[in-house]
Parts: sequence; structure tokens; C-alpha cells
Amino acid sequence: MRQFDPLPDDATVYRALLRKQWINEDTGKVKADAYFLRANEPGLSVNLASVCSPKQCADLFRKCYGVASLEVGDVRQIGLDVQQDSVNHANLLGLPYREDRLAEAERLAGLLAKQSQVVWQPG
Amino acid sequence: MIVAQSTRPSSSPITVTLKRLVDLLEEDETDEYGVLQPSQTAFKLAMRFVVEAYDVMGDRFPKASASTDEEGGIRLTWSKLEPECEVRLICPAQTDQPAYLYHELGDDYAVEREVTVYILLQWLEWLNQA
Repeated sequence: MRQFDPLPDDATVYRALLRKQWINEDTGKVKADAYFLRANEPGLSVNLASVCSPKQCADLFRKCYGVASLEVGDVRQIGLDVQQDSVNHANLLGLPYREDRLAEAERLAGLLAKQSQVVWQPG
Repeated sequence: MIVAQSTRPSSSPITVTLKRLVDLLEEDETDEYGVLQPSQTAFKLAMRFVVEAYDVMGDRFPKASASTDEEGGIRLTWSKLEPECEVRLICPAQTDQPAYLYHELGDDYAVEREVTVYILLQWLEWLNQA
């Protein structure tokens, strides 16, 4: 498998918001719901903004209700990491499973949600 | 729910919260992420928590945002922007999984397990007073 250099702190990644419920109806902000690991999921799937527009990121999915951007440096500041695994894709690593560390999983999901900026929504 | 429909304005926090919960039932069964529609277990539990909390709090009951997790459990989120704090109630999809409540204010956060309506009330009042 091809190895990729570590992403710089100023890199931006996109998280596809696959459910409309992941955006708070009252504030328009991303909810923690968008950032939980599912069982057997090693990391959260994100796309690289350097090679993929928000719309292109959204188009990778059957339904996408928004795209949120995250700065890699901000993600690292809360003890997580983002590792590139293909030309346009990376995994957000270090999140605990809810089954293992429930409070931390909720906390980190909320911190990622706070760092998120919604950069695209369907017209 | 009948009380909410008959006497509360359509924009009251309890009416909005109940509508958001009921709207979850209108979703597709699944999506690319997992189960989208809430399970009966999760829906009944979430409704019970909301209705019983409203019975005690009345107009102090804050509006919640509702969603499902990938297994059909229901997540209710109560948020406040100033100061930034949050209460999340998670009603699991299956009866053998316990409900839990997460609360956060600044750097302080914790999970309450074995959630009762009384515990939910405590944390919703805490949110109101934060």
C-alpha cells in the first residue's frame, strides 16, 4: 500500500454530513452525531480539501446534507490525528469507541463538531 | 402529546421537540450510514422521558434537537450557546442497552448512566440555569 507523508497542520479535510439530523436545526452548527466511530470502523472517513471540492466530496455519497471542514492542526490539538490513505482520502484517528470510553467518545465528538465549519449544503 | 397539540403553540419547545421526534419515524429505514429510523424501543423511551420531563418542567422545558444513531437509537440534544453547554440523552435501539445522559460545560463533562426522568430533570434545570 502506498505511503503518504503526514498532512501539514494547515491542511483542511472535509467530513460529509450524511444525515440532515447532524446539523442542528436551530443553530446551523454541526452536532456531535457526525463524529462517532461505528463498530469495527478504524477511523472517521474524511476527504482532502487540497484535491477535492466540498461538492465533489458530497457527490461521493448517495445522499449528503452538507460538508463540514476541519483543520488538521485543530484535530491534533485535541489528541487526534488525520492520516492520508489515498490520493483524496484520509482517516481521522484516535477516537475511542463508545463501548470502550463513553464519556471521552461523547466529549471528542462534541469538540470535533465545534471545530467544524459547514462549507457546503445542497441548494 | 394530546396536551401539546391542543394547548401549546406550534412553536413551543415541547411541541417542536415532539414534532422532531415524530419526524424521525418518517425517515427511510436505513441510509448509507446505518439504521435511520428509530427502533420502537428507542422511540417509546425517548417519548416517555420528554413527556414526563415536560409534565414537571412545563414552560421551562427546553427545545431539543433529535436524531438517530446508526443502530436506530435516539439522541436528544439540548444546547445552550452562552455559556456553551450541552445535555445529550441517548435512548438505545435495544432494550438490553442502557440509556445514558451526557452533560458538558466548558472543560467539565461526564456521563450519567442508569438515567431516570429525575436525572434528566436535574440536568435540564442545570442547563436552564447555566
